[in-house]
Amino acid sequence: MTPAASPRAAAYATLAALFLFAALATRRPELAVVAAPFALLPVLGLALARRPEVRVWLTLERPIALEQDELELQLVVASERPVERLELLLGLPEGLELVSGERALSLRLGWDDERTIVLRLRCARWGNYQLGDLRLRARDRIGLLTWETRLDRRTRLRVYPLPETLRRIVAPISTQPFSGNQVARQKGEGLEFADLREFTAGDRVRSINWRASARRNVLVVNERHPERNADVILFLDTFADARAGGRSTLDLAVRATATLASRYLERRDRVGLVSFGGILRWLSPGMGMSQQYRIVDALLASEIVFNYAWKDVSIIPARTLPPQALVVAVTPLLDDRIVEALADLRARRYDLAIVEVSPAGFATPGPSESDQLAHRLWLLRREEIRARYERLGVAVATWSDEQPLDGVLEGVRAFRRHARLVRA
Amino acid sequence: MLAGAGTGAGFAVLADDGYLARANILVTVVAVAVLATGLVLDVSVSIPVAIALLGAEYVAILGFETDALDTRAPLVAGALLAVAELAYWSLELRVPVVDEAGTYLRRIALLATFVLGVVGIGAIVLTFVETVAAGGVAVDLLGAAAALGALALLALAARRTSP
Repeated sequence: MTPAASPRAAAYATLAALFLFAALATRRPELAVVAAPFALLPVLGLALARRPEVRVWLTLERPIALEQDELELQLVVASERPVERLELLLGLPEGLELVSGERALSLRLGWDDERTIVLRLRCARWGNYQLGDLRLRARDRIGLLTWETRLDRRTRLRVYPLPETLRRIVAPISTQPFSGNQVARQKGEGLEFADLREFTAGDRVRSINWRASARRNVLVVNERHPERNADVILFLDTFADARAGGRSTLDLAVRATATLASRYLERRDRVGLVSFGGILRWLSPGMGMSQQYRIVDALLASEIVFNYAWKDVSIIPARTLPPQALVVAVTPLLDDRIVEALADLRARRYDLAIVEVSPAGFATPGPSESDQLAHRLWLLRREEIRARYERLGVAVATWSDEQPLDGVLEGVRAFRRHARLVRA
Repeated sequence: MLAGAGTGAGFAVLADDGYLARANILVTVVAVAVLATGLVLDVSVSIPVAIALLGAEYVAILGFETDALDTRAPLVAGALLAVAELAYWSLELRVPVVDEAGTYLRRIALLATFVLGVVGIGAIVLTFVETVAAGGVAVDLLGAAAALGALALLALAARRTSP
């Protein structure tokens, strides 16, 4: 701990010297008496001062939590020597809120004393947090000397985004050869009835449709759609976001992406992630719980990195975007680069759906007429972007945190059914 | 601030001469203003300045009106120390730290001990001075030794606090 004299020490010594010189100058012993306390207190303070030996441990209830979860943080402070006043300040990263307890408090420790301070934290926002930035300041008995130090008791806390309720998701048009939960458009071994055809050598007897065979007077077999899995690429826009009052479109986008990843992985689909923005990050498609953790961990590192460089989809590694994959883009559509990149993906025949995290709620128009006109023009421009995608056959669902994601995705599903009919 | 104003008012009352009393009131107003500014703006340097101004009032009373040994000196010392301690305490209270129960009581008890100790020690010193009636060179030597002691104290404090 680094010692430092408090301003009192210097002030008292100066006052003592001043009054003593005044006593000399005026030849009055009374002034020496007035000077005495200001001289004696620093002497007493220096004589009694002992360097404090304080130990601090920090324990977190659990290293992983969900958004809005509350968890307990224990701070154990121990000292072998008495410390008259120990001030503790725990630095809390933005995104964690204190529910109960004090993050700045003072204690008095006796001989071999140990105190446990319990703080209750609320995880207000998803993220990767490092807890444990502690500042300590100990004072001597008289308060003339202080010792300060900064302790690094780093404890990692991962706060996962709160999943949205999602009953149905956007089904991909194309499937992969592996088994899954998606009814494929191809015909093969499966549960879902597809068609009837005449019996050929090698067909199983159990697939014969006896009623249809009786009507047609030839052996007819049932054809079925197999259940396959699909490749799904979640395309997160990290070029720009809109922020207001501690909320941001990126927060919502990460929440939606995590929810979609979880739901697609439950269906045994292969899910990959492309975080497209100032910094390009990607995860190759994979399956299972480990892939879910990989995706969520990658999402926790998502941040807006400002970058002027023009980027298009050609910089994304080819294996990250497998052919016939469903690409679900989660974006506020604020940056021209993402608008063009998505149009480019569509031009490359990717099955594309867009969840637009609406920035409209984050941008309130100014009071003047020109501000409101500019706001209306901006909204019109956004509508024009959406219309452009719809002309390309891409469903765009506009989502804000005031409405459930499930309802918004229903619009995408309806659009894709309609678009499929038009193509047919 | 109230303690400072009270101490200054006390000095104005102590002054027999009307001119000196008015001057003391004026200095008290300045001292309290300096103290208030320091407390509001969180400038600790203003505290010793205010104490020095209040002390100057007592020096003026001693210089102009009292020839005999003033037995009120320990009370003055206690009052000035109390003003200084309370002012520093009020600055410390600005730090947003939650104190555990009993902290204020301990602090008040410590302050009361200091003030009573100062009054007691001052009374003993004054009694000693009066008894031996040490004047001239003896008082000069005592004062010089005390002043040198204060300077040595400053040097010691600087050495102890350097990391």
